[in-house]
Amino acid sequence: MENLVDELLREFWLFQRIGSIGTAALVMLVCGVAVLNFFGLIGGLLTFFERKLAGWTNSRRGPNRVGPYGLVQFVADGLKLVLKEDIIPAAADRSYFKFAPYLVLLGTTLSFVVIPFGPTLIISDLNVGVFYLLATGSFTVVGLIMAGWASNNKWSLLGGMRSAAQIISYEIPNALAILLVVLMSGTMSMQGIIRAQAGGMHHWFLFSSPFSFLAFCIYFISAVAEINRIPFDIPEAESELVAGYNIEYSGMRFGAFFAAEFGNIYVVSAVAVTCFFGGWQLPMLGETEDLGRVGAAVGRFLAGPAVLMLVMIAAAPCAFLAWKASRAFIWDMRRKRPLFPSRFVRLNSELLFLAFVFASMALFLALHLPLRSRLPVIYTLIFVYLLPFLAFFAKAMLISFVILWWRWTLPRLRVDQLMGVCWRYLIPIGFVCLVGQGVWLCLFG
Amino acid sequence: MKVPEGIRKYFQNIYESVTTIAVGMWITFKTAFFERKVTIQYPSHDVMEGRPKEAALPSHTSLNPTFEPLLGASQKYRGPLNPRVADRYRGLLGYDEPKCISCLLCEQACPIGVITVKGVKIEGRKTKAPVTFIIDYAKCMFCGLCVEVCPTDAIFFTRQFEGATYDCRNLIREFIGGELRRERLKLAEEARKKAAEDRKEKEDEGRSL
Repeated sequence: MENLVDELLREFWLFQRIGSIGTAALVMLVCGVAVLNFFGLIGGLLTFFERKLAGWTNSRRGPNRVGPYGLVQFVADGLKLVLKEDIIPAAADRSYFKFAPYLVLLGTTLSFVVIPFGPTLIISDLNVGVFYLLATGSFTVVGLIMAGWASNNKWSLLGGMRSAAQIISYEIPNALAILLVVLMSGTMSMQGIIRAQAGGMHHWFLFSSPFSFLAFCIYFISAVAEINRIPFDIPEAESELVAGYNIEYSGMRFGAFFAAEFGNIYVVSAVAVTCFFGGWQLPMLGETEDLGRVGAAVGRFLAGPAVLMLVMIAAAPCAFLAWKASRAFIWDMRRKRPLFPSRFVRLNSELLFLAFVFASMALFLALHLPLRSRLPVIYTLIFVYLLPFLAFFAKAMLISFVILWWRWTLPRLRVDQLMGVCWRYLIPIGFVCLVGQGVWLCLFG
Repeated sequence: MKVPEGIRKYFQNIYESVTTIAVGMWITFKTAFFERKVTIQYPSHDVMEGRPKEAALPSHTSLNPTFEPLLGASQKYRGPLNPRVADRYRGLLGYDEPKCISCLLCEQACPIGVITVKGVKIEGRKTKAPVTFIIDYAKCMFCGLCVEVCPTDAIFFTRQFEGATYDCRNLIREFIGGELRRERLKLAEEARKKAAEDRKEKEDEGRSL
């Protein structure tokens, strides 16, 4: 972000007129809005995926009524939460009660400051990035315990206390695992950590030594515990505490807790990706320059006769499907049903969707034709900027999927088991890994 | 070398937790991605095998015409369950007018007073003919006493369950209406007049005697 501000000030007179502080404020605003929107979108999508996965693991279908495949369900849910009455218990501590959800939300959104989206896409590449992440994660504890206390409800308080005990305990193995990453990369900056893993998949910290693999396991388990997900969700154990710390919350205040929970899933996955899965590096391509070279090659290829061929290949199934689908829409007025009641009637929405996909592919490819001479440059840019973002996102989604998957697989741990896992297993193993990794680096590094 | 019990148990614990978690995850993965879904997506899945043909239901198949387009049931269910409504399902009460002898047994059997029956005497018919048959579905608790007691099976259970409506009054259903009712009443009036005339004649005869 600092670079961007400098550049804007240098290049554009408009920004020079606003001055450095104004430009910085503007850039901050834009970044904040962009990241908060990303946060909302990703949180919403994760709730959708979770419900879908919940359905599938129960042999149900999951939400499939709002929008195509139920994808817009989370918007409906969010709207419902916004419109719900906001109830504050009479005996609650009103100011704390109102403030707590925002503190929880803050803990999540602040983390997005150092989460990279691509080689240059990051709000601020702090040189203490990982440390900052660990620090902002603790906001959540304050928020949860505040919510538990202010609700003036025994279940809430118990949930808040449990979450405090749990999160503070699990921060130790979490930090130990990340310390190992810092040891390997020699930097705490998120981008620095990713750059230290350049050069293909075997350089990713996950695979580079047995100790770092163990460290990933420790990180993953303790991260799941830190965001209060099953199997470590005793703060909101519904069979014991009804709903834990958020029992008295309703409407958008509850929505804030909910959004924070799902935003946290992405944050945790993004940190795991950064620290162990090579961040935005693609599995096979090592350096950014390689990406650029591949992009230029693809652009040169497409600038040839390939585009025309691809357009035709994409357009043919599109036309066929559109024809098939249209048959289902010829309506028999008298009998009030489609004239051709084949199984295409049942499939027509899917067919139309497929036709739409192919049509947009064809259109996208057709757009290449007038840009022929610039294609190598354009594809270089796409490969350098877009592919790393997609790679990062895909990896983060994969890890989020495992977190969701755990939720629908594992039973909840008892409190003493939970503490046992942390203090008797994760922490000692974490220390062993740290020392082992040091030795490993001395021997092979 | 003998490994101390505690240490052995420690590592065994780790091993067991990892393997059991893996087994569990495999099971949920299998269920989630390779098993048939059981959901019966009711309004779009057919649960009646075509909308009910029970002609005995009052005028509309569905009590609330608002739902009619939704109940098209275009998709066939492909899961492992049986989506059909059971044959002996106690749905809304149906009524077969030609069979009814207006004996009032159902009206008297009903513990709530759901049914209102009124019959009239008509010439050339041995039993009474019904002119009013009203069922208030809003009150009905589907106990089946009326169905059991009916000697001619004129009142019976259908499989129709789609009774939802926005207005409670829609649930009061009159089964005999319009033309039939008017005709019956006319016939009954004639029969009554004739009977009165007969009686009068008899009385006259009596007086003359």
